[in-house]
Amino acid sequence: MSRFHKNNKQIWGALILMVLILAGCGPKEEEVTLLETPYDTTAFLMGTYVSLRVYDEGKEDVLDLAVERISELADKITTNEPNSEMDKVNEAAGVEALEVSEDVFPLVEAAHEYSTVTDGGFEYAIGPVTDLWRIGFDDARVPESEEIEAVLPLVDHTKVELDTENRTIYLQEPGMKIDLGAIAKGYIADEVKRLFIEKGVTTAIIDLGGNVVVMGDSPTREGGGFNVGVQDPFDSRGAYVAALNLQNQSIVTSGVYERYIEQDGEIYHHLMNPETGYPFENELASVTIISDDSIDGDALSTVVFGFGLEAGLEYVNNVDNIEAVFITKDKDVYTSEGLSENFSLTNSDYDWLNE
Amino acid sequence: MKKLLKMMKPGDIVLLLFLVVLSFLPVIIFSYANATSGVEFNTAVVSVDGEELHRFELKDDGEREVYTYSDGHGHENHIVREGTVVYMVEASCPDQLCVRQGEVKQVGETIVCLPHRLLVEVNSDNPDADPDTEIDVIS
Repeated sequence: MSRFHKNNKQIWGALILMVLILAGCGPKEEEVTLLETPYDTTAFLMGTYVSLRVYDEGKEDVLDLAVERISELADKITTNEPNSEMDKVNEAAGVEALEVSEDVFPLVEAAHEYSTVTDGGFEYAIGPVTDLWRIGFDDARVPESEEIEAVLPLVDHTKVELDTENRTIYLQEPGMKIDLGAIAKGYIADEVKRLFIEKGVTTAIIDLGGNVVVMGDSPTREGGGFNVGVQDPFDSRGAYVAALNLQNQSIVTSGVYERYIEQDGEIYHHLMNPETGYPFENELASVTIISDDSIDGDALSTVVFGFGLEAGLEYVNNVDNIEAVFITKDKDVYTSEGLSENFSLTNSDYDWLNE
Repeated sequence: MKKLLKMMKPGDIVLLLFLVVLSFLPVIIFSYANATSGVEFNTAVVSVDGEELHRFELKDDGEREVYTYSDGHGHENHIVREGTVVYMVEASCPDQLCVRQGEVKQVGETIVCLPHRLLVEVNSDNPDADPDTEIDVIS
């Protein structure tokens, strides 16, 4: 019996040794050292405040590459920029189809897709309307209703022709205009994330003016993840209502507070209803979308805002891998079904009504 | 009890007293360390294009101080600290959003003057901040 026992031990010993040797043969993983205080950079790009943080030791150079990439993409996508490809496409409306770069075409395709599936909830041919309001610019104003009436027929993505093979875009009627403002920051945030991964960054925070992507886990937090605050729609930038613990996710908030103009005591925010040409009017002050890709979060935050609280909540609960936080003008907070675990209300002026 | 006292020698009592005193040592050390580090206020950092220009210590001392930023091309911002709060009192930017924003004091709060690419951000220098509940970023 004791001999058998001894043999058994030897066999186990040999087995363990073999496992250890075999494990050593696996692909060697690059050693990752995380810093408690990340490399960081800030920049003003796309009319917003951009902040990037990288926690991987030795990856400081990636920050400059990222800033370069953001400004390159922003120039191509944003209208009224010297190198803007979208300006050229818009100018050629009713005239000819124009080819755009590999950077721009996928974004336009995604915008088209969103405009199609949401059936007008999202509309990237909204340019003629946003051009009248110019909210966010010095010359913003409330247009006359006749002006809005006149351009509404041009706000129609079904009159945009996309040719995937040749990467061309054609706007069928003169005066039509594509405005990618509601989706561009999400797309660019995803591109920065892609660049980070390509350069071996595992842990980072990408913040394009509230359009946030977190990668990996905070090195200083035992529970892991990053704590993301949800902006207080009625307070200064940086004040928050609630906190979410998130890992490898995008979080985007659309709110009435972001950009607006005031005239005769009335506030007109920048989230435009493509059907009326005026800002959406409902009980919501802000919508925050949590998703895997930031382009989805960016587009959906606008779409769901347009739906209003009840329909918006129902919509989010029926889509996989999308969660949301709704804040109403009455300071009530609602969360989607999958969120209760890692959500906490931090501001007692607000009530979490479907806890 | 008497038996116990009989068992004790003078040396034991000295040892006992020494140990009692020693047990308070951590308290003394920690309170001393806290008093000397003494960082109980936040700081507000003023930067333009990511370059730090000025730092306010948000002390509850009732003092008022003004920092003026000027780029030499007519762009000016006057930032005021009053005790623990910071605000933009005057700016030459067209939209005046930074001035209308009012006071900030909480960690993470910012005043942004986009036309001048100027940022005021409240940071925590407090080493006692709980990393588990601290907010990393705001959306």
